Amino acid sequence: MKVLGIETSCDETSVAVIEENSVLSNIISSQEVHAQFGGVVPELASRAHIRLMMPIVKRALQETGATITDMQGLAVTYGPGLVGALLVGLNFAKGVSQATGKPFIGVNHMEGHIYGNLLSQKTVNFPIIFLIVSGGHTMLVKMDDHLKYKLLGRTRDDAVGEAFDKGAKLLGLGYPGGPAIDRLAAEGDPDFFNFPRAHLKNDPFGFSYSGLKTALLVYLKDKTEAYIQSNLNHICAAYQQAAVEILVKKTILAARKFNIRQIAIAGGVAANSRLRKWLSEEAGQKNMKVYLPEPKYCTDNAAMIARAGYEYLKRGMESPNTLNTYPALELQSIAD
Amino acid sequence: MEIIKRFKSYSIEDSKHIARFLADLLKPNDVVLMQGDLGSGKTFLVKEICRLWKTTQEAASPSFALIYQYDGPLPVNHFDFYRIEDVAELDHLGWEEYLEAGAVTFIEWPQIIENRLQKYYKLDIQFENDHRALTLKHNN
Repeated sequence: MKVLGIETSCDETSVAVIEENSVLSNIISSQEVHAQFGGVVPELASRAHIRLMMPIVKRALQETGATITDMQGLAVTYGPGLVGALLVGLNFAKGVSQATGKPFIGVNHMEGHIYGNLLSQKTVNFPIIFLIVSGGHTMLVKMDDHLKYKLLGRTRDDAVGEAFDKGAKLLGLGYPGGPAIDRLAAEGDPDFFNFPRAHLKNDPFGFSYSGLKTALLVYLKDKTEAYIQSNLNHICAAYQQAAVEILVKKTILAARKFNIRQIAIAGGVAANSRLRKWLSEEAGQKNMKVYLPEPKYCTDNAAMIARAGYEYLKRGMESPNTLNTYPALELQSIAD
Repeated sequence: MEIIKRFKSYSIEDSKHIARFLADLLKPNDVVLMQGDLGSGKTFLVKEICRLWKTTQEAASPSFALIYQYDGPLPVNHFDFYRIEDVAELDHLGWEEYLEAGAVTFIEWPQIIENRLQKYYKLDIQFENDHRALTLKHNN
């Protein structure tokens, strides 16, 4: 069963073709725009999504040697995200669906991230404790089976990816900040300084990252530029250590509380090397299985949307043509 | 711009009092520009005000999402243009359409759109030695 996936919830225009758990093509605009279509794209303009949609769909199909009629259906992100950006993808999917008679299914972007991980595995066992971490999200989800999710907790202020980006900005590093900090931290001492870890009263699976950012700001205030530069590796390592420790501890805590032996990570920050290593070590010691996503399926992409959509379509589920976009869409389970 | 009030915050408690003042002051369709460096407490103030207004969702940082909306007796738009480098990137976001719909709008990192607004409050937050100095202004 082949599925065409479409993702336009934020900056990226992405289209993919998958066949069950295999990715046949996965085109992402930021990787393609400069090489393929020329010019700089205003990253947030819906107009960019509109302009890129057709060429990227064509390219995604071409790479697989398939046409739209070979697809069993379409999957498209309908939230959360920017309304204008989401509308481009959703309306495109509706149009193709009407013209070809193929079913389409709306997919939650966060559920897409989950399936970006599952896409990287040969087989998985449920239930799984999922940590979803990106520039805009930080959440723990209990996944009992395909398409069955329970939100355990989320960030109350900044997402962990935002803590990395803004921390990097305070340290004068480039964007995106996560990879820059990850790279420098590899050569640094994580115990160089003890940045605060936010444990929230009455919310064991909630997160808070705005205090960490402020702690870095306060820490840097009385340091000279020369001191910061000569200890940059150490500062990055200590900052990353604080950010990642909370993620690891809460994920393990959730697995223990619900007596679940499988844990997984998803989203852009799931590419962080410290998080991957630390969680794998902790899981190993506790005899838990950890599912790590391939880095290429961590950041926003349409293959993960197609993979999630496939689960719905193979169950005969599809969206009505009246489906709307939902900028603040919550992760929902299918009915039992 | 006319200065309405100056505040000093030495603590979280002080900042909560400032949030209370703003929560009592603001009315539907008001726009507040929140100007201050990283870590100055812009999102914290919005979060506290939303708590006082009993919005159904807790306010969080919209730096990545750009726009959050919170429902409640007094609905709130929460914009954050931290990531925007060129104002043209906002042209198709439709953010201006949110402004006259009865909600109070808070805009973090508003520098690039300030000259597009007619009537607004501006809360300027500066770090001083042991406190934050806040100045609330209105351009009327």
